[in-house]
Amino acid sequence: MPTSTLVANESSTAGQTDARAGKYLTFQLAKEEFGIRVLKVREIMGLQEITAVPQTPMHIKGVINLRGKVVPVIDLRLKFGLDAAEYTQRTCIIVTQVQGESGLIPMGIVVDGVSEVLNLTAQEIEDTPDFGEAVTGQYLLGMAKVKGKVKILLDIDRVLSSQDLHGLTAILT
Amino acid sequence: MREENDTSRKLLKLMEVVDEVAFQASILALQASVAAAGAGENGLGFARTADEVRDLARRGAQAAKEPAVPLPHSTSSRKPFPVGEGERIF
Repeated sequence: MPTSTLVANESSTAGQTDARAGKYLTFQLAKEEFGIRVLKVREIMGLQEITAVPQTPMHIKGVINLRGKVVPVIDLRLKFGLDAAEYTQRTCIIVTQVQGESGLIPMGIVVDGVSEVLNLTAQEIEDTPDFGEAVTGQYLLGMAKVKGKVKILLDIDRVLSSQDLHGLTAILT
Repeated sequence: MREENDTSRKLLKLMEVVDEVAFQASILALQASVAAAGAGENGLGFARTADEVRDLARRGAQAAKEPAVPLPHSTSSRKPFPVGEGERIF
């Protein structure tokens, strides 16, 4: 008897916030730690040659050749309005798969460094606090509490908004 | 003296290479973790292997940062002793 109630409890708590629980790839950006869903990540690579494309916004660094496929690359520091930083040996490109109108679009983001793959439970994830009306927190999935620190979980589909995607597909096609 | 400088330079170079290799290995291990996560249940064993590779990479990087022989001291500590030509301490 007690075992069956336990199982029932577990499944009900998992059901509540279960959408956000799971594995996240964490990376550093300007001393903060961010996380994106592992299933959104296609590839992680060290920095490689980025071909700049003229007449694109500052945060779009250009395109890379990913095994024969041209993939746009965005500098997440610039996208978030942070100070630009020199690229180092630790700088990485995370190739993500962003939901576009016509399916998944590969897009690279430049980050200061990748950290680890974390398995987050629903208990470790908290809702984004309300920062007031002026702040749009739409691109935030929540805050992860890990070892006394807070990691910011990003909804990469919303970070790389349709604006960027439209602009880029126009350039690339 | 020149020989010693040469050796330390070579050692430093070697440590840089170890550090670089460790970094590449850690990225590959992360990549493997990501791929394992994509495979769901089937990737659990693979995820463990990836974790272990990453741990190895971390140890490699640590070793490159803290070499067993403190390089700068080795030259200064030898100075007072009259070391003959071609003679080696280690």
